[in-house]
Amino acid sequence: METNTNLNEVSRLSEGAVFKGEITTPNDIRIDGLVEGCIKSKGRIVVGENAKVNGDIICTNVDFSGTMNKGTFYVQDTLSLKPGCSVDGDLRFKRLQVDLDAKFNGNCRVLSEKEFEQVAKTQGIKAPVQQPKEAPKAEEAPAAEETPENNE
Amino acid sequence: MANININEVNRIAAGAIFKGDIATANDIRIDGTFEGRIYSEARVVVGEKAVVKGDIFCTFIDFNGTMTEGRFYVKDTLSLKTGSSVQGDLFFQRLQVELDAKFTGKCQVIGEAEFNKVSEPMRSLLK
Repeated sequence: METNTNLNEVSRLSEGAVFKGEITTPNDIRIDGLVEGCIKSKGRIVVGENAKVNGDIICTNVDFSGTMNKGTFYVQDTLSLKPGCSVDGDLRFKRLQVDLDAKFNGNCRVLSEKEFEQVAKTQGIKAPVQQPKEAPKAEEAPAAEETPENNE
Repeated sequence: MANININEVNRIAAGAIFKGDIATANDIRIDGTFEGRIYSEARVVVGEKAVVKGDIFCTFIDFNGTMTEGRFYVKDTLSLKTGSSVQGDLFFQRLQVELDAKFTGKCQVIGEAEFNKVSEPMRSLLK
């Protein structure tokens, strides 16, 4: 994992805790409790073995070891389903890794950068600042000024 | 308390925004923004830059942040620290306000029975 993660910047829902609502953060999240609702992070989301999530997860990377009963993953980079996890829901990602003994029922689809930004925008989270190096040349001109800034 | 396992502490980090209800048997540390209701059977610590809008139910609280609207229901000790800013009502068994804590609202002492009654809807989330 990244060495430069400051533990104080990681939001955490500990085991036994229940959260109902919506989480938005520019940093990482660790979840060991129960979440009902949408989770958005510009960083990595780590979901522990005993965690349960009912709702969408929108983030850059996710390591998922828990249980998801309904919801959709929108992952800008790597979605990783770990051994012992259980997912009933859809996966949208750029890269997928499924370990042996991960249970998964649902649909998979590769998500382009553009589609992710669309999702992130409609859900009120801005896409991470760093752009991929080999961005397609065609669409770099008008973006900055003309797109309405309706974040929040 | 010496025996706290850091992995058991819930944390809303700086920059994070939580909207909704949270319930836990363990501690909560808040440095970000929280809108909604908070229930902890232990201690809640709210950092200097944290902003809370909504009700907090807990046993102990150390409050350094800003509450724009809401109520505290504290089973034991409610502590408003230097630099904190609170607009809201306080219900507690014991109160400590440090010099330079800003507080606008009313205070009322409540017993354990009353605390249990008002916090029941939040406690039921844990079951």
